[in-house]
Amino acid sequence: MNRVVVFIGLSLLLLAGIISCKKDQRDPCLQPTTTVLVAHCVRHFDTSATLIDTALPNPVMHPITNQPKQYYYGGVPRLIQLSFSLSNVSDTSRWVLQPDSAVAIQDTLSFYYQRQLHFLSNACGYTYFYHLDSVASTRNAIDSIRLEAADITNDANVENLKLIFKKP
Amino acid sequence: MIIRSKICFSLFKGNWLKGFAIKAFGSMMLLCLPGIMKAQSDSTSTKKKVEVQYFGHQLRFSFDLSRPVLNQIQSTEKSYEAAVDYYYKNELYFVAEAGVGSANYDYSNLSYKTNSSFFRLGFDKTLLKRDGAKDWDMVFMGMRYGLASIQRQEAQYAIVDSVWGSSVGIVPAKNFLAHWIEITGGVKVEVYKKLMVGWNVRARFLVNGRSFQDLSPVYIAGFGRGDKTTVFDFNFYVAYALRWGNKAHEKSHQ
Repeated sequence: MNRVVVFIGLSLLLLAGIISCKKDQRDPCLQPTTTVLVAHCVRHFDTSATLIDTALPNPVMHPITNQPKQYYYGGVPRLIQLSFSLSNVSDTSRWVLQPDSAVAIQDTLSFYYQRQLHFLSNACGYTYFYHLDSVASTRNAIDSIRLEAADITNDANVENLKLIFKKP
Repeated sequence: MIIRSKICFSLFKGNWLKGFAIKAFGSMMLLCLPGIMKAQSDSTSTKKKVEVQYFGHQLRFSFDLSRPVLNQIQSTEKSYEAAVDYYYKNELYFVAEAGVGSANYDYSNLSYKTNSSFFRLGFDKTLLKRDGAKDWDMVFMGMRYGLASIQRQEAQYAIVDSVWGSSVGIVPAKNFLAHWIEITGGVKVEVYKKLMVGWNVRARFLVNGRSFQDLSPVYIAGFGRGDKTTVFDFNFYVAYALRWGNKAHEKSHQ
């Protein structure tokens, strides 16, 4: 009889231990949920086709949206890589880019893409991935644009575009 | 000492257990040594060995008490499980388990409900031989094959974007089948006449995990987390046994 009591006691302890490990909380989301287009800033070296990195002196960017609140991004000098978020409610997004806040030269970039709903996890939910079809831009500071990777995911290490700037 | 030698004998008795026993209970070797030495000395001292085999039938109905407790603790998941096992022979039990469950996953960026039902089939093999015809206590290991049917209702998602504007949408309802293999082990003891309690621990391995890449169900009854391919679980059973034809048979050999 004593063995039975000990067994039940130990079993209840085990049960209590395991139950205490069971959590009634949602798992944390451990992966990026935002999808951004990554552009690398370069310019031609002399007259050759060779491209070299160029750091934008003090860039200012803002998206052209229908939202009442407008967002401006800037204040980080000497940027080589720029990140553009894309709209998940339309297939076109437009951004204004001013390479140097001290110089009143700016370009408007238009991104045309297809949206793809993508399931991340139960903890993170859904996000949109994009397939970039084309990019159009004014040619004030930007010389040309080269498409490097059309698929835009939550992997921020992938470079999607090369923005080739005119020589200063 | 007797119990210790019994455990060791059982661990090394069958080939299928042998490999596992050596790997998983390697550290128990040291504990077993005195028992093995005693068993060896016993075998040399007596020439005629009498082995007693116990026959009989047992049909046991088990209900998992841990599920109602967990249902009170976990707000998103509810499930119930029951099992039936039958003693075949040579310490081998055939087991059938079944149950139902549901989940209500309700968060601001993702919400859906699932209902699922399952069954598992397999066997348990006791590690200790029975002491007598009335001894039905067991320390066991076993394997199962599990199959679950899951109905996920349509899911609502929201993607929050303060710059461009948030979007919401609906993912259509979908039915899934999940099947898995599991390894289990545990203890069951008789606490009163034909009334038994016991627990299992289980390791489960989902076979068709790729089916759940697009909005995996958060909970599958009988398996656990639908977004994991390997899960660990436990059960705490209370059981009632029906028995008939219990008898002992002595087999003597040199």
